[in-house]
Amino acid sequence: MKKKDKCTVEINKLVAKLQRIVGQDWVRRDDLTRYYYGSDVATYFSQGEIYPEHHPLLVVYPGSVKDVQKVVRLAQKHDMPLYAIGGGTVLLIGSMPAKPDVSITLDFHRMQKVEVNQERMVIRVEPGATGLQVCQLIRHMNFGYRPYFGGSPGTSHFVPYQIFVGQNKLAGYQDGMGIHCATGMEMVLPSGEIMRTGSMAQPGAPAWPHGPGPALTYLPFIANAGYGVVTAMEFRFFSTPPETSSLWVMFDTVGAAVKGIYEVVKQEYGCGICLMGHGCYVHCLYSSRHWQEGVHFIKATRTDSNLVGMAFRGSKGKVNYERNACIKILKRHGGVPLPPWMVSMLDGHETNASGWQQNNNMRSLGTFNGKHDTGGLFITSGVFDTLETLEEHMEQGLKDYQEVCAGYPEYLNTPSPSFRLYVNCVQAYLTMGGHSNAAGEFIFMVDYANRKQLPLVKELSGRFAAAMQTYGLAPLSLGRDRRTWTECTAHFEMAKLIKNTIDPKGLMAPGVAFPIIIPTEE
Amino acid sequence: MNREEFLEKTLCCIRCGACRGVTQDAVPHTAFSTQCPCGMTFYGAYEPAGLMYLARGIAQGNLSWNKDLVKVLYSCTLCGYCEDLCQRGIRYTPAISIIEELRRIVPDTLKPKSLRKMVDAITAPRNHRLTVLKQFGIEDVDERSKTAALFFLDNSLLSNPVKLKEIGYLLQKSGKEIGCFLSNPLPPVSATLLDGGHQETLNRCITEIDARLSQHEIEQVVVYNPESLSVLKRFSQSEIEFISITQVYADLLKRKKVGKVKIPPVTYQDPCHLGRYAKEYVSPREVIEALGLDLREMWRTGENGLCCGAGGGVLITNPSLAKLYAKRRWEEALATGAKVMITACPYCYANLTRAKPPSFKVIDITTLVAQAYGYEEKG
Repeated sequence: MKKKDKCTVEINKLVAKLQRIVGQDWVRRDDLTRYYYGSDVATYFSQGEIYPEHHPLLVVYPGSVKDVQKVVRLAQKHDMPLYAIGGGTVLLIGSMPAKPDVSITLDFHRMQKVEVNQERMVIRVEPGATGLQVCQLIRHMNFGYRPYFGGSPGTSHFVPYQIFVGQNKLAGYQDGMGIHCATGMEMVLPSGEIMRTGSMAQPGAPAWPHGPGPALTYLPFIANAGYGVVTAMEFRFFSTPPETSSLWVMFDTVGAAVKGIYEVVKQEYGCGICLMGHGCYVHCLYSSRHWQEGVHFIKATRTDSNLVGMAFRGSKGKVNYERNACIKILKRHGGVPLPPWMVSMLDGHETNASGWQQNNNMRSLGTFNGKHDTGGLFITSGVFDTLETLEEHMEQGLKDYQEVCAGYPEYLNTPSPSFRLYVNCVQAYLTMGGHSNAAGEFIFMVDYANRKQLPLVKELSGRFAAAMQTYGLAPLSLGRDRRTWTECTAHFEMAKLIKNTIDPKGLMAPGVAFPIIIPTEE
Repeated sequence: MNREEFLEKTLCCIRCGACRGVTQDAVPHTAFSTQCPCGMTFYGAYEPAGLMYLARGIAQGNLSWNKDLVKVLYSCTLCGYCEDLCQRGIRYTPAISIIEELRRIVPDTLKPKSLRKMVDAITAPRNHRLTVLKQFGIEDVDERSKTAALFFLDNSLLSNPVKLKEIGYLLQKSGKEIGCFLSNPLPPVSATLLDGGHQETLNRCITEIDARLSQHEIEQVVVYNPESLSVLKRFSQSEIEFISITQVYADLLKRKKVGKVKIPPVTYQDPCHLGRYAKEYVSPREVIEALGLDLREMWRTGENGLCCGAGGGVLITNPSLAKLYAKRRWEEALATGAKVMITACPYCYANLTRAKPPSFKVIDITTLVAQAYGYEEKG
């Protein structure tokens, strides 16, 4: 009892100190607030198995970078773990306390400034802003803002975790989020110092078209907020191409389709090339605004056909030339180009080609079940060195999928299906520097509205995880030793070294990317 | 809605942040908006996603009802913008039906008494002054076998002869052949029934309305109160067309021109139930244009319109909070340089008037049009 009283007194003191920093109204510790910040989408999608519900001790709403600095210093002084949430939910679980009732959650709702700098072609955003607003603004200006998987030429491929926390990958939809567009960031380190990188390193620094460089973007990303709290980021935007077009070609076999794509890739034609394999439901490969049309069309191809799609962008002459060339190449491999009226049903492709290349956002997972969809789960993905490996993996994946589904007839026979397998394979990243050394990517996603289907999801996940072990993956520009960024021991050790140096107490988002070092109560 | 259905709905929200918006003072741009009145005032659990998470907690049995939770729930104006923004985001959460369901299942002991009284007033028989409409040639539908168009009388009109006369005058001007249930009015349904969690009562009323409209072969119903219009549109099972009275005004002004009304620059408050729920943004603006008024739109307007703060029963259950919300709206109205606020909803009118700056005037669109056509209240 005495201990509890003492603890309460200390918390009260801490609250008072925090209130002096951010203002009286901006520190909350009531049960409902703590409940709200204690779980996230992943808690429910995983039924609490992976990321259980843990409530923070306090929630603080900083109003400025200075507030953040002071809160971080105070947290250090009191050995309080810090988590952060920005515009919305966190795909990488960064906002969820790893242990209950010991941490402070920073909510950036008060910091949502968005500034456009047309001269430098960047947009600077505070972490409370959502990607949706950024997309809206950029679109309104008729500029392109390349979202997550769309990529932009030569940019480094990962940006800090605060893209997910602050800027938030999910909240970017309609069009997805542009992690490839990040050019700089401002971060409050555990010491309370401010670190600025890339285009934000100094006033007026250029927003390099090739990104801020691999190290400074990559490291904080893998840190998953473990290095500090990002308080601003800059994203580059791009002018939209004058002309766009798309092409859809049907193949009898996956093998023929892959060979055709391979030749197209070698010629560096097209962009956003993908193959939708047979036996799969695929929807909304392109613009989320056109998912419905895509669905109707793709459903027709689900039995024994394979559909290759790609976009073209640039000048009118370039678009026509590339399109015609691709038709010739793909015909040579047995492909049958679809007539224009069918292509027009998928006009989202052009939209994407003009700068909105989102193709696997979570919106595409939902909505099938009208108003009652509840979730989507990213099952697995892989980036492969060679098309042969990818093809093998894809074929096996499809077989696994069909085998598993056969055991769940209600899944296949739902008249108004509420969940889907989402397969997106053989993306040829002609425009993606990040995957420039990979042959293609393959993603399985399942959209499930009914949590009763979780066993199916679990079984599928297990199959795909096993397949990953068998085939291995291509590196994500980290070398060619078949490692993924999360499984790369050497890289992770390096990250931990940096973590230990700048955050020796391990108070920044413990348990997200780095092991928890939360002081236990005596 | 059973518990499982309710849970499934609440699980739709993944707190993506689409409903949060960006502050207008940071980016003064119509594509941006911070819209949730209680979310932008109290943050955290008061935001739309907060309510969805609390609903989830209730559905899962992790949270139990208490006064704090009820306070959050009744701070929501049910303006519907969160749901609208949600659809622009990554997935669709039926926020409105979730909040309405929460209000239905709140234990009776925690339900605000003021809302209960309001609901009783709607459903109980009462004296009315509808016969004043007869002087404008509006006949009692019950005395005729068939009427093509009907004027719907809501709770705000039944005992308001001043407003009834203005409307009667304009309906007569319009030349529209229109009747009304004068001796035995239809149940004066409005969204208050949903605000108070009385879906069952609403359903009963709607069933009665549908039956009586069908009995008289009515094809079109003209509604004055946007709250009534929205529930009729949402819940009526009939094929009847429900339209806002602002459409009648707009048509009238097209056919019978009036001189330019000489009043200072105006701004227009989109009532949530007229705009967001009933999708009627055009006709009020057509009216304003036809009257030759200098319309100065607020930042958050049309589809992005900000609630006046009266909705969701907040005006009834927590008038001071409703006033606080209204002040936010007035900040924007003041920034336009307008001097007159026009609205087409009695609740917006009431709440905005309570919080209005001294330099401003609030005018109901019906009054404005009636005066433009030379209507003068006698006695």
